[in-house]
Amino acid sequence: MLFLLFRGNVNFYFLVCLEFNERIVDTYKVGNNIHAIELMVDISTHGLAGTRANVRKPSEPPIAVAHSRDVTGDVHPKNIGAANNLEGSVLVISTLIDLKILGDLDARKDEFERITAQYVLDDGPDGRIVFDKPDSIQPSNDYTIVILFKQIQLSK
Amino acid sequence: MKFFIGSFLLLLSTFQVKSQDITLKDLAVPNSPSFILLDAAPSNIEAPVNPREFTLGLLKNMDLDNKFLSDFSMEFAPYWWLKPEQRDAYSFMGLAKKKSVVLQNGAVDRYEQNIFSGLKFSSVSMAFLTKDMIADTSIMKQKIVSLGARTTLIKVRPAAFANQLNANLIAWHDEAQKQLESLNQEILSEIGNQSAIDSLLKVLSNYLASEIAVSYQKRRDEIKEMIDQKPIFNWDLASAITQYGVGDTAWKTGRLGVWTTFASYIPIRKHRKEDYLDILLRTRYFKDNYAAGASGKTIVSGTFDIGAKIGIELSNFNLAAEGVYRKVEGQKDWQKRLTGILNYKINDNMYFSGTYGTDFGPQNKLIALFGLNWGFGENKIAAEESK
Repeated sequence: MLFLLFRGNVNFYFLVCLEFNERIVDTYKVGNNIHAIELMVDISTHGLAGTRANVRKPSEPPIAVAHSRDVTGDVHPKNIGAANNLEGSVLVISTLIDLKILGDLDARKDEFERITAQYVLDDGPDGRIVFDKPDSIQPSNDYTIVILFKQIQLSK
Repeated sequence: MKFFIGSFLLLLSTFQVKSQDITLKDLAVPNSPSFILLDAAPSNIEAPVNPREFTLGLLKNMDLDNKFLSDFSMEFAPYWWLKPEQRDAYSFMGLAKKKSVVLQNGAVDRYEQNIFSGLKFSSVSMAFLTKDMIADTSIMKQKIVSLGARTTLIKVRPAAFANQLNANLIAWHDEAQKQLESLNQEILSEIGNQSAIDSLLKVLSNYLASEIAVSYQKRRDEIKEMIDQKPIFNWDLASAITQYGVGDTAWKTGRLGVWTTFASYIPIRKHRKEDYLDILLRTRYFKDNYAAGASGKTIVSGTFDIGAKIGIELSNFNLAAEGVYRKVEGQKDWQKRLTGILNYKINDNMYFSGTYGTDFGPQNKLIALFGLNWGFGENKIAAEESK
């Protein structure tokens, strides 16, 4: 985001905010062999959580590659496919968290501040890489629902 | 006059004032151990969620002239300050992993209730105020520091609780996976356009939070309803101690209390999960080193209470009978208090309460208290532990 200050005709100042619609996307080298790439997701919250990961190659339909097994929202180490199949794909991981069970608005806001997420990819040429932040954390207006989103480019 | 009062009550009973922020529970006298010993409700109670807020609270309320915290109190559960490794919904709800079962569509974990799960939410309370707590002829106020703690030692749910809750959690998780699959498909069609992706996340989060998402909310509310149910057996323990600043430098122990409650809430009807038969047993030891004695002198007083309460709790009505026996140190006979308690919810914002019976003391004084509580927000009547 960039802020620019302009002076107008009669002592008026204009603040112009330019938001660049680009965000640096994390990348993971998968290589180009038949070795399987492993994904792990660790969600830390007392709310109900569920996680799902999908990949998409350009001009191919998206496919689901991993999901949580219970309401911890964690994805235990999961083979998401062979490196040569994943090369050039985009991996997206979304987590739905429900904080209603925590109680009132103050309790939900406090818990929202405590949410953390770690995404781990392993078995590529660079080995184990930990991505320790989601790209977006979007709460609903009343903080009952929170959605985490992470995007990782899988390169050669 | 009668018409005026009747009209006023009718107006109050039909007047619906809704507020998301204030409830009767918020306005109630706090029952934290450190406050109970003081016979006072501090005007400013803070609940710091981290050490930084705790420190700021202390600094903000420091009276520099008296070098003491002025009319300040706080209660917090240290667990919320920590970030333990296993922070998940199961540990919050008191479920522990039992084993993994391999089914056709993969392995599924089985859970059982952890009856000691309430221990981690133990809370600490503290209060600071200036008040005359010594029952002598002097009216000089003392600096008072009160520290207390309370915990739930054991909480037992019905036998089928863990399996039923786990089934509801699996159903919620399946529903969440459907929502996430649709979300990921849409996100992948917007890759490269971050603002479009952020909009998708915002729309979905607000949609699922709204009542329009009927199927999703049904799954989640079933879980919330289950964890809000009262336990079939509960054992609470609390204690507190107060220190009096006598003179400029001397600090002496003023009061000390330890109390414990065993409670059982037995559901009366299967289809109405807020109707219970309540059975509570309570004991308390209380010591006051500066109690009122003869001819303006203070004495050391110790009392031991043992009592029981039995009542019926329905959604808008509860009726209970309570008996407490008290042994005062140095006295031969036990004293007793026998009361009947009635609460009736007129509407979400107002309820009527009444207590009738005999109080402690050799003459068994009569107790007759009737009142009308009016507040904002939605509240339900609950048979609270007596103080």
